[in-house]
Amino acid sequence: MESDPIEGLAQVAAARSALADRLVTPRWYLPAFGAALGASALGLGVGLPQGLPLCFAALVVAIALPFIQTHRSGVSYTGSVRGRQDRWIGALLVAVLLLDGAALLIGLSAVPALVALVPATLLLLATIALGRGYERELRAALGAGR
Amino acid sequence: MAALAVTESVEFAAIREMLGVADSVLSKHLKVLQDAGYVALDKPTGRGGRVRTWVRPTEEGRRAYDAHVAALLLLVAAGTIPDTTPTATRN
Repeated sequence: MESDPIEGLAQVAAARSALADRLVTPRWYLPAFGAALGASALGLGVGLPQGLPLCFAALVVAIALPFIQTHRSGVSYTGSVRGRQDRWIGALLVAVLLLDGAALLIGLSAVPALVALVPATLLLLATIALGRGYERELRAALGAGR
Repeated sequence: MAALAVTESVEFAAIREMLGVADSVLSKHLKVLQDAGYVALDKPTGRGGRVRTWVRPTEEGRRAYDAHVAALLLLVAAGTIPDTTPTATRN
């Protein structure tokens, strides 16, 4: 155990930084996650029950991806560090609800199913943008955390 | 413990890479933490029988770590470092 408290706190900060670096997802992760969420919106937009298989398959992929990333990085993060990154996750949840809702309305209406590509594409882009923001803030929070 | 305390669990190889130490050194330190009840080791068998060891901080470990960091922060805030040498302790 370290005897100098300043050195001890520096070691804590270094360990947290190393953890933050490890939690950064590979380049393919957010586009793949966004594509899965977008595909689920597209499935809803096509209309039920025709779009149900696509919706189901997309959700399976969206649920599987975080498990794959955990296995790949060797870190299972609990989200226990509070910080501004929580806002980005909140914004992503709102985007998913709004755009999935819009896609569902398109599926229920007489609007051509092709229109569902709009919320699907927006969800893909929102996932990438908000996911990058989340990772940036998480790195900052972990690096600064005690 | 600093990295472990905010995670659900971390794989043995990931800790080794983060710390830059040998397997034997990490095993020795984890054994001490495990004996103290601060971490638990899980060895789920993966596909093909490959075993990956996951290190999970216990509640007791998290509490001890938080208390340790709080003490460090107090010492830094007070601007003093206690003298724990045998001579100082006797006096």
